[in-house]
Amino acid sequence: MKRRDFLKLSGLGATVMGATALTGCSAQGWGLPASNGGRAELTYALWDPNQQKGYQKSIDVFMKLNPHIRVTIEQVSYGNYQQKITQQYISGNAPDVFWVNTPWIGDWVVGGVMADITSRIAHAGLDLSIYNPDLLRLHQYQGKTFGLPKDWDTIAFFTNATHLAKCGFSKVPTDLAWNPKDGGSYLHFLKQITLDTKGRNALDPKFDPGSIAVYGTAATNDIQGCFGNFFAMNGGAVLPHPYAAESVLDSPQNVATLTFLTQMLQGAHVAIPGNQTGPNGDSTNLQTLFASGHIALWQTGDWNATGVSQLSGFKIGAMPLPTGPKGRISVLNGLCDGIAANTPHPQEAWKLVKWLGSKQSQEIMGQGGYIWPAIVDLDPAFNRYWRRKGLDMSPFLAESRGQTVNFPVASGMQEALNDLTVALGPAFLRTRSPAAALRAAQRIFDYRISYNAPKG
Amino acid sequence: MPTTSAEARTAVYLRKIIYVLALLLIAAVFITPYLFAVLASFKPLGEIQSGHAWNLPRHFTFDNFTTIFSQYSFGTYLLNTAVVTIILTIGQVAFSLMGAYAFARLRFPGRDALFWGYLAMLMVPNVVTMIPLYVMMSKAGLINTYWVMILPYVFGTPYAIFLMRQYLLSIPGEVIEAARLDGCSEFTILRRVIVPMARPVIITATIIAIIFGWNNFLWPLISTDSAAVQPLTVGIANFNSSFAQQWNLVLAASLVALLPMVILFAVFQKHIVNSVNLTGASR
Repeated sequence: MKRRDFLKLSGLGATVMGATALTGCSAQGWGLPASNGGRAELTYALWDPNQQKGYQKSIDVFMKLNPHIRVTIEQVSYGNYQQKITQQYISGNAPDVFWVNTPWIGDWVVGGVMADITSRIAHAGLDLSIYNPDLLRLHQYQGKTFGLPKDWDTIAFFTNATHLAKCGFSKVPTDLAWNPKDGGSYLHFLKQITLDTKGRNALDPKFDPGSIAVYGTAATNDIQGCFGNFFAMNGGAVLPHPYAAESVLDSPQNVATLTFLTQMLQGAHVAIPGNQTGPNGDSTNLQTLFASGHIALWQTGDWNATGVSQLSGFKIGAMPLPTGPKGRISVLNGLCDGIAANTPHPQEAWKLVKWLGSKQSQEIMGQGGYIWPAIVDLDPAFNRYWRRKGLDMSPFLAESRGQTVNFPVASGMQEALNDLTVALGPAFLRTRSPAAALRAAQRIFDYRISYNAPKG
Repeated sequence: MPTTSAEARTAVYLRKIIYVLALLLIAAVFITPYLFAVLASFKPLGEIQSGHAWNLPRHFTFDNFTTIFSQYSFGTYLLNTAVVTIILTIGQVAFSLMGAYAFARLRFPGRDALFWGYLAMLMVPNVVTMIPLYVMMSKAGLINTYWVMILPYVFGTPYAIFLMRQYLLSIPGEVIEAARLDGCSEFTILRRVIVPMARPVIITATIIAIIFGWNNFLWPLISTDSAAVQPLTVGIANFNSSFAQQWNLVLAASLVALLPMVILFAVFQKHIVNSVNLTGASR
């Protein structure tokens, strides 16, 4: 075939492809009214493509039960989520119902983006006692409720069980304790499971900190995954109460905790140096470090179960957090479904939100291993799913039933958290003292949560 | 003097070797990321995270590709990108050519002022016009439709018009005069005389439009919301959720997006290099 013929042929091919493409498109794509038989069209926004599969199953059932409502799921990437939903709301194109994560709920509640559903709950006579009460509180403001809890997460460890067995721990210890003075049995355990390239652990006098093959863990600049838990366990906190305009970051308890995490654990070479875990010592690289066998314990949330279950090369287990001076306390967070305050379909949107908070929907999500349901009775279903896949998630469940501390809620929280990571970065990289880093962090954090804080 | 010529030849060879080595090094820098992506798209997630990027897949798998098409709507994303790119390209090339012809060969008052004024728009960065454009499209009710991705670009761009105008100026005026004397209308001149003679620049403009349409990201990200109309670029970005990243699927999807562009390059290699000559630089 000559070049010219080839070009002609490819031109023809493109035209045919184009024609096919055009006929394959939906009428809605061209802005034409689709024949929907008078049904209300709802959009439901979320960011997790994996959970989307589960929610599609739940919504298919919802649409069967409510034939006059059609729901389309919109997936927005997590990185743009807050901006995108806010922008859509302002231009009047917001999804009718959307996932809300705790760092944004303050802005959206105070800014009036999310509809108050208190009277609807009362009118429908919903029994809220089926939910974990702490989760309910996450979505409340000045006595009003803005969302029904749908799921939760706590923090525990995924373990490299193969490595731990090699170090003599065929069963993981569940009674470890830490304190900021001498590190406690937790530090001792970490020393036992940190090995240099010659296979000597960190208790061995000949241990070579210059060539470490496997670190015990990572202590990262991550409020939810790492330091927020330890702050609470040592009697410290981030906020004195939800929607506070001033934080309590710079407290003696927090300074001691941050010193323990950065100076003591990294100093003893049992936590991988901060410059390897991610920018500003955050936890970006932890999954890779864990997967490649560089850290024996990965302290994180249960949302990583899907990723962890796909790892190969070693056996994976789970382990609870160590107990601190004030007990074993995990950060608890959960999402809710917000209703856009300016939705043209408030009735139908509420119907969907009610469904997503219901037992039937959360059962579908729990049994499919997508989320820990916020309805306390349904939690074992999630655990059963992952046990069948060879992953034991019970430490996460045990923590949710024990002491927890809610993820901090205030307006401006996402920006405050971004700045907090930057301010605490030098402490985790060990180029600045924990006390100085916390002082700087409190200044910028308070600025962020105060400029839009509700008065009074 | 045999020694000197031998020396000279050695020097030439040496220089060639250094050139080739330097070029190989530069090529390696550009090719490596693509190579890593190709390798990773055939690996399961666990292997991507536990092994080195340059390792060959130990468990070679097509699962990533089947997953993105069967469990996620990548077929739709691909279709949307194809629709938008095809329409945008045809419109942009046709309208730009008309505009260029008018600016190059028709006489009317204020022509040059209009041309330079229009060209000045090249100086305005895209992001500056994005918010007004969004408001316009939103008021017109076109947000989240194909129109919003097509309309801002389909009626030609200053760049394409400038490119074509400069080329058309190089076509001898006598040819057009002759056609006019033979009774051709302006449209016939454009179709029968200009199009065949301006083929190189038309192909160049076409390639630029296709690449732009295929890779366009920021505007569709802002102006579309649902998977039913979103293009591949936004689909991949959505997929890259910061919770539980599935690199195997993201990279497989990127490869799917990349492939048509690589084929395009392979087929039109000569014209693409030529377009760099025509434009002075690739955009």
